[in-house]
Amino acid sequence: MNIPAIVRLYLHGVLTQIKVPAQYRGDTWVAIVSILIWRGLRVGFIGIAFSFIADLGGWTVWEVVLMWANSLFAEFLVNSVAAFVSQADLYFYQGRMDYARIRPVPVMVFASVEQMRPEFLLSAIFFAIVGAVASINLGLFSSPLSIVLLGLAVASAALLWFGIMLFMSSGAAWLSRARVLKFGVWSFDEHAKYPLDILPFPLQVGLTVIPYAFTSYYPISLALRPETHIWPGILSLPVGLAVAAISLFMYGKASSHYDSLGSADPT
Amino acid sequence: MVRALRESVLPYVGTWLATFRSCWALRMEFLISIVVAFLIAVIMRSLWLAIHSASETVQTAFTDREMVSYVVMSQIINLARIGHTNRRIVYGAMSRIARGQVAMDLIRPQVFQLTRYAEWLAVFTFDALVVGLPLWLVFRLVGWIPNPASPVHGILFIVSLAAAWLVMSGIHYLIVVIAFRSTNVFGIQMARVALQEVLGGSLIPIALLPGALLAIASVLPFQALVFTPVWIYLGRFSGADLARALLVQWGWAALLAVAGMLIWAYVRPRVVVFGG
Repeated sequence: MNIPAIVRLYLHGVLTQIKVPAQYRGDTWVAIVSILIWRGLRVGFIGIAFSFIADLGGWTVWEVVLMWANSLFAEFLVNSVAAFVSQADLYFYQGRMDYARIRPVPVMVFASVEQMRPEFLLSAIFFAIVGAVASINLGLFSSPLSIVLLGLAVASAALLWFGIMLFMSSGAAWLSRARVLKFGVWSFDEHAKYPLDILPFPLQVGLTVIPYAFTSYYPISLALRPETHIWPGILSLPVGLAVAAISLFMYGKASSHYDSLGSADPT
Repeated sequence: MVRALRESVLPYVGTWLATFRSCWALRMEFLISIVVAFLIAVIMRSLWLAIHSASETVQTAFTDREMVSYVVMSQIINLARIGHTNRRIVYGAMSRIARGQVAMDLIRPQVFQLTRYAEWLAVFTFDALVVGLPLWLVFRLVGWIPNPASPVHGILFIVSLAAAWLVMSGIHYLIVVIAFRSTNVFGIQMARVALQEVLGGSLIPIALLPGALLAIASVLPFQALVFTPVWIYLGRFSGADLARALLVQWGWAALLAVAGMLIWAYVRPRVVVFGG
């Protein structure tokens, strides 16, 4: 496998995916403004909620914003640079895999380029900026330990989102209903980023098992308060690695299970 | 006269029935919507109870029971729910336009706008029966929401919900029609969801919005989607305020329907389809 050639083709494909919609200038500006409204209102909602209170269960506004930003930055980063993980169901369920397999790069690379959405990349940039502003306000860039822990939080969240999305979408190789579940997961996760302390105990357990809490609350509370919140924040990276490994195993099984009499219209 | 009326209405009844049946075939999506809406309601309840216990401003505006009732009811009738409506119906219509398959819709002896409204009515009915009603029963049984403030408020809640559906359909239709002129409506659609959640009252009671946002929310149609029906259900509107709220809702429904017709009249002659 010629890795440099694959990387070159991937970058070329991604740039093309960005350049093509950018030719429509009016639409590009509409997309940028829409994303600012879409994402800005999410962060704005936290601001409104905190206009009534000084802290939420002991967590300040910047701490809660950082929890949101960490998870959403990682989610959109994975969705933009490895878009295949959330769209694998299209390839298994609609038969597009036939079309992807004849390409001169691995299926995951080709499909990630094909499914890449500039909106998600813009969203990742937006939450990177929001996360950076929150980190500066919390003084996290002033200590090497905090920087390392923040890096671990981002890495854990990225691995977890990679794993959660690939696991869900690979399920479409067996169950068409897996696609439905994916949308359920997606619409719920936006609300699952608040400090776990304020939620009822069954929901705390649920969000730990699923494991959304490892994308935001646990790793960020470790970065913010390492002296009191070591566990289970310290497990975020191992959990992320385990979930990613399980999803890759699942994807391998789905690929070998895949059978088709022909592909769907790839357009 | 009656025959002509029946013949003009029947195609839309057929569209409603076909879409309702397709919803039944995809009932799994709605079942997942129940679970997701339930969990979001629990999370929002916990969040707002935490805010309520720490804020005198919120305590002045609501008792803790009223706060919970508002938050839970707003999730039950949340028309911004990312479910079947948004994905299959709106994106489906937009995708048909982007790929030229809309040509098939244009040659049918049906009004494009009314056909879309009939589809959305079917999804709304199905969502109300399969997601909203069971959730209402569950939350009513656990005591998180009360009965409507009075029988009259209960009836007016249904009237208000019907207006909310019309406003929602009007907004959906405008977004679909924009797809004739824009290559990228995904962002617009998502911005609409965010605007609807924050300014429509499904995440935060509009009465608690800060001054500037409250002023913006009061001149946009989103307040008619969740805030007004829930406020009526809880009996917070009465007398002239109640009449004004319903008038504003139905006014928005009519305005958006007319705007959709006018935009369609502008767009329709300019549509060029080379095939689907």
